[in-house]
Amino acid sequence: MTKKHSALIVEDDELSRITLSCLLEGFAATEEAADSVSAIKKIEAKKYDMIFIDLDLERELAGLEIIVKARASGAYTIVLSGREENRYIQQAYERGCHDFLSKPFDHRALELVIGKFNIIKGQAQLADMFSYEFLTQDNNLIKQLEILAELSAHNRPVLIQGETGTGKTMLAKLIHKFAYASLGNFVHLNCSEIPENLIESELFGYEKGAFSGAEQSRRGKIDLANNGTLFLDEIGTIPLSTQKKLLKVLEEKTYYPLGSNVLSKSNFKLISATCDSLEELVAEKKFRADLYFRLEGINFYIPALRERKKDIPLLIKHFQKEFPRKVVFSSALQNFLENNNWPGNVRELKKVIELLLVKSRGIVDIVDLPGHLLPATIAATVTTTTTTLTSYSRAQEAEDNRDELLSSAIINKVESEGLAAAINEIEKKLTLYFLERNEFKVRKTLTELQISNNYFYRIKGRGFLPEGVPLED
Amino acid sequence: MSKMSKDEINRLIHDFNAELSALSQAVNLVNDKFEFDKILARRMSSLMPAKMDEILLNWEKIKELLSRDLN
Repeated sequence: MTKKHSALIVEDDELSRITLSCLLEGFAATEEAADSVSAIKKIEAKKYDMIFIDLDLERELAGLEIIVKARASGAYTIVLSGREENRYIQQAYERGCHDFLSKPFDHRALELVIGKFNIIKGQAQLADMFSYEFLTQDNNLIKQLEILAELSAHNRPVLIQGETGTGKTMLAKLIHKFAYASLGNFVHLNCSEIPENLIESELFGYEKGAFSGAEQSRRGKIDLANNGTLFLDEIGTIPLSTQKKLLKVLEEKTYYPLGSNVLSKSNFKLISATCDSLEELVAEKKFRADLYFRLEGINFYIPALRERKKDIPLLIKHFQKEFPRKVVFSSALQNFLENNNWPGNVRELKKVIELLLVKSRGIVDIVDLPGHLLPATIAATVTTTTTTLTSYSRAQEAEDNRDELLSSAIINKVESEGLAAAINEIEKKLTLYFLERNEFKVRKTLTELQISNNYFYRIKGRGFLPEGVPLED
Repeated sequence: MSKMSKDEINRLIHDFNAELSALSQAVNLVNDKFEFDKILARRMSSLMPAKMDEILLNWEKIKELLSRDLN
């Protein structure tokens, strides 16, 4: 392991200094100071990541003064002391120490402190990541990060809730990166994408011959996540029968792969995510209450994009930057993008920006929006215009009472090209909308549209996909 | 030995325990380092007698306190 951190050990007992230095081997490059004068000199001359301070040095409680210096230097400050009286512990914390280890301390206590240090150090980086990658200025969302410091101290699972497209998977990956990456792999399973009858084999794996078609043994996600992180996305869609088995794995860390009578073990950190309300699913008896309580540990809620609209300009800029070809958005388009409600959240906004960026023109306008947004835009324009009128005609009244499905764009299309052309257009636009929403996964789109393969390819043959957009099975 | 307060007795016993643990931890490390870092193992070993002296001294104090209380 590379020594990526630096630590100063302030301790008057040489044997204890060497022992601690050995215990920190592999984690930090250590330096030693035997008294407060040399400790202060070292702290002033160099910036350390961690400083361990014995309270009693050349004189009793001399370490208290060093705590202040250590904190001011920005180091993670840990007091080591044989003193267990509350008044000394309180004084140490009041001077700013991060942790207080009572002597004698063992490996476990030290590991805990190091884990906490890693998280707190990572938090600053994580906050930056949130600014640059997760792209939010939402204080409530950023504040939730503080809870990450708790992750190292125990084995509680993480539950992420938020609407589709808000970035739950991205957050799960970030949590793994900052809290668990040193442990092992990140194994991702989107439970909603796996048919009910296959989910158990995906999770638990199977032995050769376990069921027809099982021509060879296969490891399940739970096994692959051993010593790492298992991320169960859309956990609310897991069938009840599988929920019971999953609960047993979470409680006992043991399970039987399908077709096997050999008990397997897997020790993993669990992160689950859902866009459903698990409380409601429990009330409807679609989700086991005991599993729900087991999943709840550290909870994150990612607000929908419409609840944090001030993030939209940031996100637009970010997605524009990612694209090598530069185009300009007209102010009307920019205004629309910033004020739309984005039911598909960040994912939908990203797809729309990507589609706008491949337009051939250098200045992209509101008319370049994808089909599913265009009627809403026109409707918005119509609404703006009509609010300026003072008198209502009967035609306008009929217009006001119009079914919301019949947008102005559709009516214009029927008026100009006839009903068949309009229906044709609606089919293309709805198909494109669902494809985009499903990240161009054909099978999922077919299921949602409730159409056959042939029908889909007939619509596709009329041409609606931008060039270079790859379809996935 | 002058009369010790309850706090001082607790401190004495705690120090005794901490020194024993420190010594025990050091012995384990000497064992770990013996093959790979003989210089460090020797340095640690040379510091052990002083630690044992401290332990013995504290042990004497505790023994004296106990016998005084019994008498």
